[in-house]
Amino acid sequence: MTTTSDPVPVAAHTAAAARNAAIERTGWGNPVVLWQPRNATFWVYLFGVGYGLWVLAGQINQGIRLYAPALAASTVIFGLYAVLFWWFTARIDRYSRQPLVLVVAAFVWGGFAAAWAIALSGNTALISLWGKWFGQSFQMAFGAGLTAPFFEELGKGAAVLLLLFLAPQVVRTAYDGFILGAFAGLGFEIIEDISYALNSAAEQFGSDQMHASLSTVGLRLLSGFSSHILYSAVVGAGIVYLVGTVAQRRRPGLGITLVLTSMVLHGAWDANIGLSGGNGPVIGGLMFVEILVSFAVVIWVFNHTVRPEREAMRAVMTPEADNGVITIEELDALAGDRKQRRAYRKAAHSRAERRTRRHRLEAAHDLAGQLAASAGAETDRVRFARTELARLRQVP
Amino acid sequence: MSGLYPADHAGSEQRWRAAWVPVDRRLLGVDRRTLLPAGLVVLLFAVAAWILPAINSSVSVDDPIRAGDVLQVGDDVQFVPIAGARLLTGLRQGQPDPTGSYPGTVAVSYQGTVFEVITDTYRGTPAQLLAQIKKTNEGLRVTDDAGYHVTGEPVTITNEAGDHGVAAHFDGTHAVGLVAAFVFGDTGVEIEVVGPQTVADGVTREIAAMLRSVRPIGDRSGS
Repeated sequence: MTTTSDPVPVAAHTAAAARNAAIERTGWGNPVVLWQPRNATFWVYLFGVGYGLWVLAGQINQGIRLYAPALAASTVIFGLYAVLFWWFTARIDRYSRQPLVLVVAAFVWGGFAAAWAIALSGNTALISLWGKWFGQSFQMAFGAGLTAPFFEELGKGAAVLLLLFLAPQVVRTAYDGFILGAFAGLGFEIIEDISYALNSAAEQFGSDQMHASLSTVGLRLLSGFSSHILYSAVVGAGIVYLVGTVAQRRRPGLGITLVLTSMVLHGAWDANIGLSGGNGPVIGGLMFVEILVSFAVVIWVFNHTVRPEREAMRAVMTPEADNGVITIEELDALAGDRKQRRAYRKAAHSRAERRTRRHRLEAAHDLAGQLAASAGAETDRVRFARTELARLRQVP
Repeated sequence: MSGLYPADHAGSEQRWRAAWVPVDRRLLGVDRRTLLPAGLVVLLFAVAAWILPAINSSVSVDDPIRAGDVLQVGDDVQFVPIAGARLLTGLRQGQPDPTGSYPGTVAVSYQGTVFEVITDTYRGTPAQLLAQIKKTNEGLRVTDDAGYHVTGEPVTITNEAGDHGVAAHFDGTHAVGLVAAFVFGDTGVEIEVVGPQTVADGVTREIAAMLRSVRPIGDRSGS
């Protein structure tokens, strides 16, 4: 075979094989059904969420007659906060996107099972024990820092572990664990914040519930961005490395390191009072350093885990670039990072062209999703997604 | 174009087969491969929800109050506990937490009676605070509070510093007690005393002395 006799089919077949292999490897587009009575993790998931809901309902029932206004206000505010972070987390899941059912399942586990079935009772008991064993001063300084990382990080990480075995055909890469962990953290954060606001309503003997509650809401809004979502994204990636999948070989050392790193960061954040000896400026300095380190860690884990996802996107869309459905520039932007996407958009000569480029990237994502859902087959939906791209090419 | 990339489309039948759990991989009808992760999560749950709480319940607090101890509640309030009582929660004056502050709730137990002092910001009179406590108490649905309710008409009480407060009966299904309220400046103080139906006269006097010892720190004016 020479380059002049039959070059296109060989390249095309190679590209198609690479596409199919990428879809097969990542499980991208595979359907997910959570109802699996023969799967033990399904029953544990149901039990955990059910138990957590029961505990939470009991807590709410306890104070609802008194604190309904504070509960309603904080729920609305944190609901909007959740939408913001949901949008952000969904936005970084731009390659082989997680099915909505898994994302919701992670959020629900984090919000109800991890927070109320695991963390609440575990934290309460262990913090109390620290006080009994080492005195209340020690408990107030280090109790939360020596407790919360265990039950909260492992509780949220349990979402990724369960979903790994509930949907092994989809949850395959460390990046999948990173995204699902982030959503479990978001669920934990939002429901925990609402409960903090509810608890605060009882301050000042319940005489000024809205003021007390909204003060707590404000504090949590300011501090929430760097905590649960970030920690559990790192733990989620670590759990996939620990367990291993068909697409990700086991790397127990890296997995344990990530889980422990997240726990240490969480523990340090919660033990700032003890670590600083109660010195206000030192607490501020520690918080600043911890936020920097936390972001450095999560960005490193993101960049490390996202690479196979980008490679999969490139493999899936390369045949489309070969066929002229998308340009090479668009392929680079699709499978690239933020800088490449921005460079693609900025190459536009006008605002209208810039908008068109943004739409074409989004439409190309749709096509990639349809190709993955059809396992690379030509279906009506795939053809329709291509016609959409063609239509957008013609927009001035 | 479709001819260039032949499909290897796994249909729903194939997916159903992929999800099928072979008979020889089942244990009690469940996929054996899912037992380990499920068991690990159950273990975490068991430690958090059952094992640690059980250990916590079995470890008793052993922090006896000695003569001369003074307990501080928040930044503004102190009281003198009876020697021989046990500190359940709270810090002694002069031994603050690392930030130099004291918790807003302190509780001691003495001869089966629990004496708890709670402080927080409050603007109003002791009578208004007691009414707020009563309202909160009646509004909460607490399953394990043994039906405690503020009952009876409030009476005026006076602490050793001459501050006036109010007190009322605080009765439950299996125990009786008293709830008292003071307001020192902008600090409200709630005192709950709960114990068995009958206690020795001496214990009652000592508890009453402890109640009278609740006072503001420094020169904060009382009601």
